[in-house]
Amino acid sequence: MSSTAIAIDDMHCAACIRKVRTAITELSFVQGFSVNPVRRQIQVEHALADGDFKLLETIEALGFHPRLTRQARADHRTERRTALKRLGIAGICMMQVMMATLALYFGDFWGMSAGAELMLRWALLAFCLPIAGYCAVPFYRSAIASLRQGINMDVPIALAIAVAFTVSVQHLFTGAPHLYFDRVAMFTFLLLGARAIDSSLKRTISTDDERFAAPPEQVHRWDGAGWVSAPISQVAPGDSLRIDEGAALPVDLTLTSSQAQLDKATLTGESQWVAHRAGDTLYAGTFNRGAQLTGIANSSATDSRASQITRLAEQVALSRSPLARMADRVAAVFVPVVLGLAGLTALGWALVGDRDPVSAGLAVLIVSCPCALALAVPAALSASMATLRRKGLLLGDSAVLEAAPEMTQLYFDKTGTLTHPRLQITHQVALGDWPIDRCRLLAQALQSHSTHPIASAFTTADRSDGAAFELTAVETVTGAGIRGHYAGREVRMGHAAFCSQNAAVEPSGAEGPDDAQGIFLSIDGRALARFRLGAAPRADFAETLERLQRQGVRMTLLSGDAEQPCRELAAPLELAYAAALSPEEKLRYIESHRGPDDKVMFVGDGINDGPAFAAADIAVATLETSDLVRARADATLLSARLLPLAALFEQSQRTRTVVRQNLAWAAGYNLIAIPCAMAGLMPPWLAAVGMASSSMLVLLNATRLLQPMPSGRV
Amino acid sequence: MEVLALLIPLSIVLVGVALACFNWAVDHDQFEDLDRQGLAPLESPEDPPL
Repeated sequence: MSSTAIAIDDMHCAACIRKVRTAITELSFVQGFSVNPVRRQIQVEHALADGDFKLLETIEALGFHPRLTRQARADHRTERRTALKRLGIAGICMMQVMMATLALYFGDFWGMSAGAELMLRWALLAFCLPIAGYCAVPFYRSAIASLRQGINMDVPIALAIAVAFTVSVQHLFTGAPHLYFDRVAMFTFLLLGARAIDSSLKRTISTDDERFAAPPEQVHRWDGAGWVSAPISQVAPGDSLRIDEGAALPVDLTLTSSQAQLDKATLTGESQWVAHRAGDTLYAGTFNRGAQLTGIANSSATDSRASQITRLAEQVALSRSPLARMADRVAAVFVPVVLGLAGLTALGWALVGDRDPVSAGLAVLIVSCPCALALAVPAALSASMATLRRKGLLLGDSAVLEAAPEMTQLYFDKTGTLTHPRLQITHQVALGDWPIDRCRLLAQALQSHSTHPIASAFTTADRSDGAAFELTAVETVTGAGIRGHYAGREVRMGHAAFCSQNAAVEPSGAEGPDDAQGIFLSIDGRALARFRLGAAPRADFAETLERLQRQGVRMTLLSGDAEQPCRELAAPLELAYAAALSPEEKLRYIESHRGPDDKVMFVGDGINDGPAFAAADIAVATLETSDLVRARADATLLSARLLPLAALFEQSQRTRTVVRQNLAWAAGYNLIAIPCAMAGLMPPWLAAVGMASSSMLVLLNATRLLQPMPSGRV
Repeated sequence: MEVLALLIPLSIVLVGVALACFNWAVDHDQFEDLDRQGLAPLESPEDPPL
């Protein structure tokens, strides 16, 4: 199955979207269809390997101008230029039209020679001609194209402009008093202005998703004799690459330099630079903040982690939530109703006769542009998803934003979720006459020969290797520990019995009941130090919990781990917990504690909690997990931080507020404005201002969701 | 008021000139980057252009 992304720049409104959706989904080979109205893009899943052409053809037959998205970027500039010209010319001409109109008004009051009046009337035509004949062309085109199948929102607009202009020209020739050139000019200018602001706001909302989209075009690759420049598309896994200071990584790679400093903010939202050592995997899209580094490519440019995330995010942006679909349907019914009302209004006033029927009908057409209604929901959802992405949480579906405020129960997995997935030294005591730091260095030297998971706790400790120990004859003893020789003396590390094989490990009763446990370090059978390992909680664990508690969510720790580590983690924060659960028991626990109205969110790494994952209303996966789990999750944490979880709750509340405000505004505005216009109480210029400002207001309100929370954190 | 007979056609011609100027400006990238020139005094002469 293949997937094609198509940009349709002249798909302005809900009716257009419905039209495209109907036509595409009717094709026999199409299996999936989703649309992003903010970006004016559709995404089609289909079975035909070379189906792109057929899709473009189908959309073109509807009267649109579709392009595959890569093409869309290149054409962007000319398109922006034309839009600017139309707007600028409309502005200049509109001012002249208003000036001449004003002169005619004054003439009505104070008298004006018939010759001057005639000249001004024809001057109006001259000033208005570029507006009606050039600036308003996009509206005509879109409206005519839409006549082939269903009507879109540009129909009332184009109709208003065309009718007003034609009637005015006719009056000009017959000498009838009413001219509507001022409405044509004002309406077109305001509408073009609103569209220009719309598209710049839409760009603001969607650029966040495109931050990864600019990897370096050229990379430095080792060709066996020296570094040569190569285009990024030629990089294949296994290539040796050099990344200069300050440059972005083009692909995922394994570090071969001894160390590196990376800025991963673009990928994970972490603002602190991260130190890496040789052998670590570095991800494309992050920046090298240390010295020049070298590494072996793990991926090509298109299958790096960053481009996978970008693709996933795009897919998500394209899927539509139930609320958004509802707005679509409302708008699709709206347009024909408005056209009918405008006709009725004009007819009514023509029969009653005490107001100008053309003017009243125009006001209805102009005032009721349903753009606000169509944009109200998608704009808010897109903005919020971009914000959460930036903070380190990738949503798999915008429905998560709508569901999150409903959540009543939040379950956490422990290991790998609330705690770091790797073991760390939690406790260390010197037992002999060596200082503990020296013991650590010896332990590090010894463990660096081991591949056991425990070893990483010692070797990743951030210490200088200044006094490195030279060890010989190092060997691991399965199930016991590791031993080697240092300056002719035998060094051992492992459990107590292994270390004290030759001589007794001095027990010291003062340390508590667990003394015999832990990992011992001994030299010639004499104990030097004891270490205890554990999983350290994530740094922002406590703060996250506190902020979630403030949101009124009940939280419970569900762990497969033993009672004691769970208690140690949960008790200080008064977090409820259930320990030693199997995956099935976790599921049973969730189900048995679920009330009829409870909504459950589960956060875990997907290891040992598959059933719980499936049962949760929202499943959130952590960063260190398999792709399979990530694909099943509704959301993924992009960094080692938990705070984005709190951000999800806070952001979804704000989103809900903004969506409601937007819908209420759009509906309320139309309910008041349309009757006013029908009653002939609304002059067309006011109608134009009202229409343009209502859709701008909706978008501006949505951009509030791009800004940081009032608390200013995360 | 006979002067209006001259002024009104003249204003139409002037607007035509204004439109032509605007058209030229858009075609010659005058509106492509409105921020850079404002920052130009802060650039040191050795720096490559922003």
